[in-house]
Amino acid sequence: MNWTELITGLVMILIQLALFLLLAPLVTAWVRKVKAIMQNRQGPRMMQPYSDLWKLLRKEVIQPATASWIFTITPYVVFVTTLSVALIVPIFTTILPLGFIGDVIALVYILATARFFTALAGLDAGSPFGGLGSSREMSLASIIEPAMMLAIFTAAVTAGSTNLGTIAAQADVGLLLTPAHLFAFLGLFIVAMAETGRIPVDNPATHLELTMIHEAMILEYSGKYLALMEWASSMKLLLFLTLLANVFLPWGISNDLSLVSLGVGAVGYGLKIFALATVMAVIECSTAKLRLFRVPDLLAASFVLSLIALILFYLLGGESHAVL
Amino acid sequence: MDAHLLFIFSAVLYLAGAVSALFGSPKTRWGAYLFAIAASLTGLISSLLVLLNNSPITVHIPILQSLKDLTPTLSLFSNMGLHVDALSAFFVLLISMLTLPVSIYAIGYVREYEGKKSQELLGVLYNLFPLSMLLVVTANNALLFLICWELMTLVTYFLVTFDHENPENVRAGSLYFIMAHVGTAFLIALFVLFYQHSGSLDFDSFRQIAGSWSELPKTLLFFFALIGFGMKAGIVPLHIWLPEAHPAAPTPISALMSGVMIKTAIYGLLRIYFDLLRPDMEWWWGVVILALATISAVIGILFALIERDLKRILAYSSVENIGIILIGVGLAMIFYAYPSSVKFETLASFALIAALFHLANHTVFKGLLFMGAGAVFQATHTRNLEHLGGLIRWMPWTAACFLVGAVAISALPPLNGFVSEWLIFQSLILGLAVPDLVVKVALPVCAALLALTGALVAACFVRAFGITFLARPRSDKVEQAREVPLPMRFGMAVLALLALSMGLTATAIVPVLSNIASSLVNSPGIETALVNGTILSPPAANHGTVSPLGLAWAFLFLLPIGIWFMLIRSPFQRRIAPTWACGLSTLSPQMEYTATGFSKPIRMIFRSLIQPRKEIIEETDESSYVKRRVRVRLDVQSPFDRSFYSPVSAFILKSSRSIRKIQSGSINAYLAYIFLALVVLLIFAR
Amino acid sequence: MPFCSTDLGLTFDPQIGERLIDLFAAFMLVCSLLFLATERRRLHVRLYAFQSLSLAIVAFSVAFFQCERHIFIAAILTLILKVIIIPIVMERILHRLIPQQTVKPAINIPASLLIAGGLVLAADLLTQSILATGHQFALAQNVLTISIAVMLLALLTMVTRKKALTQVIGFLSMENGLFLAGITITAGMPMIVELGVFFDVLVAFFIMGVFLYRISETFDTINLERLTKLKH
Repeated sequence: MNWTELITGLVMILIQLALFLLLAPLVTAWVRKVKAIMQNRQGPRMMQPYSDLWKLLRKEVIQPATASWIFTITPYVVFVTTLSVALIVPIFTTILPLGFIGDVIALVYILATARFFTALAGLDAGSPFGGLGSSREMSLASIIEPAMMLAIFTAAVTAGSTNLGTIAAQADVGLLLTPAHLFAFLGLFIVAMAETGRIPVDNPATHLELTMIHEAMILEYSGKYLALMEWASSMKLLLFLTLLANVFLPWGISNDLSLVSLGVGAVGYGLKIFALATVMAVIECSTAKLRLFRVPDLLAASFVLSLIALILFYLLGGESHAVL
Repeated sequence: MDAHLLFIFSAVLYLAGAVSALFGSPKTRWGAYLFAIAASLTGLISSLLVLLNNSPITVHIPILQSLKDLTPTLSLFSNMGLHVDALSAFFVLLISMLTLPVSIYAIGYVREYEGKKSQELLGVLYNLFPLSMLLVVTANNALLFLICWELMTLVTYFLVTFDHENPENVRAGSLYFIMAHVGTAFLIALFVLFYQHSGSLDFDSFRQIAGSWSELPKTLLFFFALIGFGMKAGIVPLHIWLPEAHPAAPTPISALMSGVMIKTAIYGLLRIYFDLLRPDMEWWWGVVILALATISAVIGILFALIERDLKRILAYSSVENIGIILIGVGLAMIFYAYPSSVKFETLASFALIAALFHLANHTVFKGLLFMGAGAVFQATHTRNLEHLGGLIRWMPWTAACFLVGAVAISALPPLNGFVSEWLIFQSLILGLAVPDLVVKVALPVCAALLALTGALVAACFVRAFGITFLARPRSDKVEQAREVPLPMRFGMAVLALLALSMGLTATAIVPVLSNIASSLVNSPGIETALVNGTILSPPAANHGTVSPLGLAWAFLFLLPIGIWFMLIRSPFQRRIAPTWACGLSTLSPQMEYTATGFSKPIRMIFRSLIQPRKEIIEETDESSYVKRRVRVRLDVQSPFDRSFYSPVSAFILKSSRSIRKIQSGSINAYLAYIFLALVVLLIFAR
Repeated sequence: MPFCSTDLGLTFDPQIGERLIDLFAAFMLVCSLLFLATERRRLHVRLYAFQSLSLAIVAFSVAFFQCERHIFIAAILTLILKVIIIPIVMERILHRLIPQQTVKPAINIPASLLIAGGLVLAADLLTQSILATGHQFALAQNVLTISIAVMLLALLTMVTRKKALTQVIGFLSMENGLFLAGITITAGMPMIVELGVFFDVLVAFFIMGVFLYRISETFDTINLERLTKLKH
């Protein structure tokens, strides 16, 4: 490999990582802002999440007396695994120099790793809230994952690859979605709402024991640890928006390294992300939170949407695009 | 070194270990385990030699050879030998690989039984058990296979009922014994069918007649093998003995039973379908196996999730893992036998690699987890999750090893479970190339259910690890716990390291598995297409790759970013404070989340599958408003018990009662029976 | 009608029209699924309006891209009748009805959704067997599957739900599926048939509306389980 290639690759990796890391709090802020506007409030300013993170990062950690080293390593595990998806998910370009280390199936399991350790940390402090959060999170995850896998299946089969860069590059770049993609998109959208703890499923803004899921698990975290956990959940939100944007609506994503296409890719990415975030915020404002045991209804809908996506795909005479 | 000689050594060493246990003094009680260690080590090397050199070995057993000379007319004994080909060598490798650390562990574990139990018996059985498995997976003759299969069942029956003071264990042993023999009956029927057609009990002769089976006997063979081996493997709904018997045995035995014994059944299935019946295979067989496998996976893990006994959780999880392995096997059968212009042999080979990889993985992490559970049991004398908690402070080593096992079985990257599940998902996606509507609907549904299983496994092991090792003790049993002795820790650490390294070096393992798989589907190896440096890819161009080592490096390189944030002002400073107790002054262990509470949402969501029952018994005083005591009973009703096993056992009992009438007790009556039988035989069997 | 693609002298990539029709037909199926996924009546009404809007767009697309001028009339009628009038009337009925507690569906939501998945597959199989007879259709075959699926899901909605209003919606949605099949398979039935169907729907809807009132006033609920009492 020659040097220019190596350096370009390294720069691309660093840009994607930095973008993913730094854009995440902004998207969270945008969702909050849209919600605030819809609720006739002014809402916090857009830079507020950054200030929050900065403040938390400078505060000391308070650790529960009963907690073990699981509690200590979890923030690192969650932060690092969530950040690592920026290496395999196309953000504004489909060129991923390290894309070979994992595909979309690996992505599901990387997210599962973060969830696994968060749930353990929830149990570690010995508080009833932590256990409640862990229990709910793991139970919901078990019904989220089939729907997610089916949606991903559709995307992978239509593109003939499970590599996210290839999926984004080969996805049907018409202006209109095919029915199969529409269904898979809707299925994954519901999954995204559930995975990122948005309103019909969970409420990121509440600390009410009746309703909280994710917040209950991280209730004992403070200071720097809390900063890492919060940042990771922002990144997870951004990740799902990115998946929705780039797998199903890959308009404008850059397939080469020319500056023009990279610029178009970056601008298009920004527009898509903020549009999707707006949609998400609007849905959050216009629906009521579901009771915990009604959530399976929603996820069953997501599962069936994805299943129909596959059926419709075959219907169109689609065959597996895999080159055997 | 000579693989042939080493293999014989291995068998002989096990035998020697069994004999030595009889004559050892109480002080040298661990001598038998040293023999097992030596035997497994030689077995390990021998099987590795066979696998790496790709040179099968044939072992003749002298005594059996002389039997052949004595009865030259009986073709039954024509070739009573052992044959170690790639498939057998793989299983010998697994057996040895697990027996080695388990034997080390056992040295520490059997102290538990000091003065309480017969050490001699345990030593004898402990050595005979791996030996019988070794013979099962290498026997090249149906009769020898059945004898060893029965030996394995008998030895394990005695081991399951080793703690026979506990009536539960005796009950579990009886259930196991009955179910195992129903299975064996089907196997006997299977081999009788083979014999009828080929005129010999030799596997070689079976191979010669392969391809000449007609529809009905072929279908019978398929189902006989499925039921016979499925019983041992614990395929739902034939699994009910497994969660009873596996936990009842002493822990090293549980580890071996769940780790490798149930896999001898997978060996049997592979041997029958992919070796002896390869040209006769039908693709719908694969669909049947796929369906059963998926059901096993989901049902197994659901029952594991509601179980409160640590070892039973692991046993149910074995049912689930057998399901995952069989998903790979079923896929391979579909791909191999699908009648189409395009052959999917490469895909079949790929699916088999996935199945074999998961098989090896399960051996490692299930052995590890069972040993961890055994360590917990030895330290606390309870296996009930509701009495545990906070053990990570008392048993840090066990906790760390158990965590590795839990992470591996939950298929989290970059450990070994992740690689095999990735391979299985890839074969499911690629399988959509098969142009059949049934397959195209079945595979996505199977993938979705496998994803469901994966998430439930994670939930199950968060619960098992979290409730056992985290938070604070739920009973005083924990506070008396001590870390287990060194040999036990060492045995666990070996497997923990193996679980980690099998993930990171997956690219070195896949070519070996690819050799085995290609010998089964009779196609050239595909490993060049699968492995590129540290990158694994499925046998399709540009179809997504994974690199476990790459992922591990990525995590390591990104870690400094997290740590750097920690360094901003007051690095790593922390204050210890009590857990927030919702405003109460102290947080008592009663307020912690329980194992039952943890799985409540799962019970609610999947209530139609597991049918939980809740019974509230209230004892009241004179006034019905003053309650003296309220008891809540929660349990689940296995749908198989109610709709299948209860009617069957009721029928058997009823028919037994009617048959009892011929048992008059009078000598004359019995003599009359014999006389009658003789006459009938003379007339009909001239 | 003054314009369709050829009148304007425009030539489009034929794929654009097809994809537009495909996409909005798919939206109709999404609505049918959501009927099953929710129990909120107001949402049902809105979903019906959206489904009808999608249908109108499909009709316009067929009319525009295939120059089937008479379908414009059907499209405009759909727009006026099903997107505007019926939903508004239905909202009014809802407003007048006595608020009531939710009624559990006969089959729970996840199960009915899974059945729905199976029905879409069945619709697919049906289409395949129709196609196997060698018929040529004006439009892509998947619209046929979607229309069959919309009808089947509507029927499922009517079977599993116990509220009268939901049943009315199911009926109307079934008609939407029928209409979709009509305009896409045959590129429009004869004008008079279409108008007849419209009229039928309108009349049926108003009769049902009247019935709703009556049921509601007699039993203080529109839970159809109460109707079993009539025979006593």
